[in-house]
Amino acid sequence: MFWSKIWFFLTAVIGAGAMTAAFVMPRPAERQTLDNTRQNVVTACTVVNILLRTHARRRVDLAGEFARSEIDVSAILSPATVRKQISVESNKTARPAAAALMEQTSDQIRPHFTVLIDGRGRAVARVGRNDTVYGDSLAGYDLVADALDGYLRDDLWVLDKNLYLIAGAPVISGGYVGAVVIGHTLDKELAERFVSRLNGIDVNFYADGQVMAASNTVAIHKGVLAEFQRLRGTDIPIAEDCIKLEPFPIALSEESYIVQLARLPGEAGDHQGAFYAVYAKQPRALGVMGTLGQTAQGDLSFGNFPWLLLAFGFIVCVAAGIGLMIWETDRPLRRLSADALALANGDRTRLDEEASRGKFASIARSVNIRIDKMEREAQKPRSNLDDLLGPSPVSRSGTSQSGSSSAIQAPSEFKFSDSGSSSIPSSYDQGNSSTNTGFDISITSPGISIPPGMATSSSSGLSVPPPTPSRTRIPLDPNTKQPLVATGSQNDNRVFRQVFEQFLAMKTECGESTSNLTFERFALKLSKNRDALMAKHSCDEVRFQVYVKDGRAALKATPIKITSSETVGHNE
Amino acid sequence: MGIRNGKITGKSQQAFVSGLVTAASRTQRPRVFCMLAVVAALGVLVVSVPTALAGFVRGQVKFDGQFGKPPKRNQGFIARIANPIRPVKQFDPRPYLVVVLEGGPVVPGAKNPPGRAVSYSLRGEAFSTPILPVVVKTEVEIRNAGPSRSVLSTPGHPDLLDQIVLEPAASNSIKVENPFEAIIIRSPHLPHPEGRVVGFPTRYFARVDRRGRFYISNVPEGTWKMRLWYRDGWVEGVEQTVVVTRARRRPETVLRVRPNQIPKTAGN
Repeated sequence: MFWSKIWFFLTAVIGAGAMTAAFVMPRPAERQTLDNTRQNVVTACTVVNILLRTHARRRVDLAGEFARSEIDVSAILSPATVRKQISVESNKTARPAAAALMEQTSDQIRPHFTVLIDGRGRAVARVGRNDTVYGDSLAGYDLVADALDGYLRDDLWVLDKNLYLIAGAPVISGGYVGAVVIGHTLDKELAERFVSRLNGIDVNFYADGQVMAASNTVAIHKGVLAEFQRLRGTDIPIAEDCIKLEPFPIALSEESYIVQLARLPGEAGDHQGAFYAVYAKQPRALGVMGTLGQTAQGDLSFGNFPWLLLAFGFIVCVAAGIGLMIWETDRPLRRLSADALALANGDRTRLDEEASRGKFASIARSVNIRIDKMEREAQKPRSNLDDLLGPSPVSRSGTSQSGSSSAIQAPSEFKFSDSGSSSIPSSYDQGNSSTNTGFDISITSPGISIPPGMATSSSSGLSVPPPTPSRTRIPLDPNTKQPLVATGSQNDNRVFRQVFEQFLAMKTECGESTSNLTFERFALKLSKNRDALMAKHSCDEVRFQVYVKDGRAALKATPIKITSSETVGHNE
Repeated sequence: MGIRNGKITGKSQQAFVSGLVTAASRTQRPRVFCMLAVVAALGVLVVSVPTALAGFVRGQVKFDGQFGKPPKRNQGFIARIANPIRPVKQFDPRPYLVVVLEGGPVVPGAKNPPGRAVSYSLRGEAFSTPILPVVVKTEVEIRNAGPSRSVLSTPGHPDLLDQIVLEPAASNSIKVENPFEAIIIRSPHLPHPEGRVVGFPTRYFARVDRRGRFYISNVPEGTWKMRLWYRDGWVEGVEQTVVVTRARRRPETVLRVRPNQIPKTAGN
């Protein structure tokens, strides 16, 4: 049983460990997945930034191509520069040229608008946006000023609540005679192109506190704009936003997103708070059941799951458990059962203690002890009917009460002896080591419940003479001449006194020493055993009887239960 | 044109009188002719008295050295690239320069603002000129000559313009109260447009043209100190004494400026 318990303990520990792992394991995985998502967003932010720079370079090159195109815009802009005002004729000449420049551009990079600007910064012609407007000055734009100074560059402008990616180039004809400015609307289509190769990544562009373009319709704008307000005034260079800034979560009603912000450069970035937000859906916290729910069929294939190892471990566990049960329980029990059967059949006289182990050996030993005791008792001579049949019931008045409804209690036998005398071993030995009274008291319960019919001569017709041995004395009340009974009242002391005197007289008659016998110890002993009997049998009274047994004075106690009809049944 | 700051110059006076005589002679009424002749003579007399005692200052601002590349403005995704065909333009401070005369005999009325408002036009994304010098107390009418609506403010002077919305062709007037103070006009949301109105105590100033030339007329005879104003303040170390006479042929005054004398500002 020991090893079975150890095995059960180990199995329980392994099971608990497995359960703990099942609940805990998803969390590190979720954390790792979240970290991966954050890293993906940071990487995507950097990629979008690179794409924006690449796109800017292509736009600048395109503006340069416009400025040096076969369609000679310098021939239009050069005379316009020297005029005080831009004439209608200049505008009418320049517009088809600008339109032709746009037409000859491929669809992928074709700008949404083109502006031809003279050497003074005035718009000579527009195509694609505000086509009819001309003559106004664009020299205030940094990009236009740079282009008129001879630089090619890009910029971001917010025009009519749209974000434009701008590029400009100077028009040169002997000197700087003007500039070409082209603009691409940063719209949904362009935003989608920036993240088209980034799985699960979306990008939104913002300026002036509102969304300008979004590759997805997820409504994270409020949280993004609020977070952007905290970025204002930061010392981080714009180009390092993707790396230096921390991604942050935005929780919507059903989904959560990891978002990374990066400011946009140019005029829109400097003065209109333009920035972009790259975001990805945050993986949900699945837990155990969610993880199981996400398990695919392939996860349980032999290639991905150690079925053989699991089966081997399972078989080893079951075999070890069963083996231990057989070794420690089944085989000893079977052997004990066979021994008991042989004992019952009379093939054996005792159980084999040596063949059993542990509790089974203890059971066999206990049974053997009982067998030995019964053998010893069987070898004793039966001197009277009490020994053969047990005490007969005696009424309180000394007569049998046949047919009474009182419960007949089995008598208890008390044996008082000197402390130095040997006592009869009993399984009910009270010990009394704590209260050394000078007596060894043995309470021997016959263990036989005498049916009322057997104990009453009138009901059964079987006449059993009352067990009144010649040397048996029942203490009687000197006043009422009734047998004295102990009821737990103050009257007990008188009863104990009389029983003591009779017991003392009986010992004297038997030639026993009474030097160590005192009333106080005697009364204490009787009182304890009276209480024990009353508690055990739930009786109302206990009657004590002095008699001689094996040549020695002995004392017998009989529990008495008083019924409603005031009758008492008791045995001696 | 012959008319500068509301005064008629010498050649113009002769043309004006002859025109009146011609016009009168064409009429058939002697009395009218006589009356017109008297009025014309009186007019010429009134106009000519101060003019006959005044001269002019003409000159050019020249730079001793190169200013270098244009200032770095904002930047897009990539840094600006110099075109490979032609060297980029050098920084040119001339549009922001004003030549001012001080210390001479100021005639009565020279400190008075012009009778009508001086127009300062916003032409789209830039003002007609980067800097507008005016006499103190002059009313400056800021007019939106561009195609779209503009919002303008005067940072530091919210009492003048405080996010005033100017629809196309609309205008709003301000008055410069303090001399030698540049009032910057710009949009609160955009880096452009940006204009400056600078008040001077007298009318003896002139802007510098693209070639650095300047001309100040009706300057009383006397000795004057010529100074140079750039954007928001004086160009230190660039002063020259000028003696103004009635002589019609005088050598051109040359103001020499070294690049390091131009104050470093956001514009350069």
